[in-house]
Amino acid sequence: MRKEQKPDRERARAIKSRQRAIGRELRRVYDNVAQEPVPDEFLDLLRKIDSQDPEGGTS
Amino acid sequence: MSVRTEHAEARPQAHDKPRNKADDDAQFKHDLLDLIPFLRAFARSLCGNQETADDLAQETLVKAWQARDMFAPGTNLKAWLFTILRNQFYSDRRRAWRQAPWDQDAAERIPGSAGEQAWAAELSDTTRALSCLSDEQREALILVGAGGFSYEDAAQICNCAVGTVKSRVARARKSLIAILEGDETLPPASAPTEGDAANEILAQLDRLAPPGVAEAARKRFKGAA
Repeated sequence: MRKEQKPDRERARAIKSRQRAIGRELRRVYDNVAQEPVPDEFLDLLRKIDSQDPEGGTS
Repeated sequence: MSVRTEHAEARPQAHDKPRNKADDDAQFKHDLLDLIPFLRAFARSLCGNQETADDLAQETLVKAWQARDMFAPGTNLKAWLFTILRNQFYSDRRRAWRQAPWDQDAAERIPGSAGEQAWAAELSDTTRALSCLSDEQREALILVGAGGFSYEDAAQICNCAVGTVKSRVARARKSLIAILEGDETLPPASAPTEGDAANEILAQLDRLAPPGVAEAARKRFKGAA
């Protein structure tokens, strides 16, 4: 892979930019979800989670 | 580092603490709350659909709460939760899909997934291409590429060697590029053919992880799963 002619360099650059685009896209999807407000059902779940303990919580 | 969720009841005294349990529980709950957005994001990335993902994230919260005495304070709670979520994802799916590989077609054959198709229509090319990857490659790429985890933390979450995570990420990138290059709806690429991309990344891969190491770790991983 070391003998780099010019077209190879261009290809490598194109691959690099593709990889960067993929990385950006992955983060965008992930971050979009992470930035959504937490749905109420999650908050309800956490509020009630103590009473869901089997054998009444602390054992 | 203890990340297993089983046997929580068997070891109620995982660590001795001077503080009282009520305070610890309150703190733990507070920490869980802060991490919900990331659990949802990881779940969505794994499942590819909101409803299933949120169910999975909620199951994870319940499991984490039940196993809270197993968590060693001061260690990485986010990684611990992601481990639980990941294990839950695979065990749910083994039950539901009988080991079928993740793909959009399979997802759409599951009854009651009409909303899933609508959601899929909005997906970007990259996200759809993700569905073509193996589970192992997809999760490694998501953890490292989107979740911001170190290779070490990702390896812990995926229960495999660090070199294995590195090679999975490299392979995932290679596969995504090949898939995207092969997509006729994308702008024609002036650049690489698949073979060239493969060679380039295989060379990177060789520098990252000796094949023997990755292979051995993969076998261990399979055996443990």
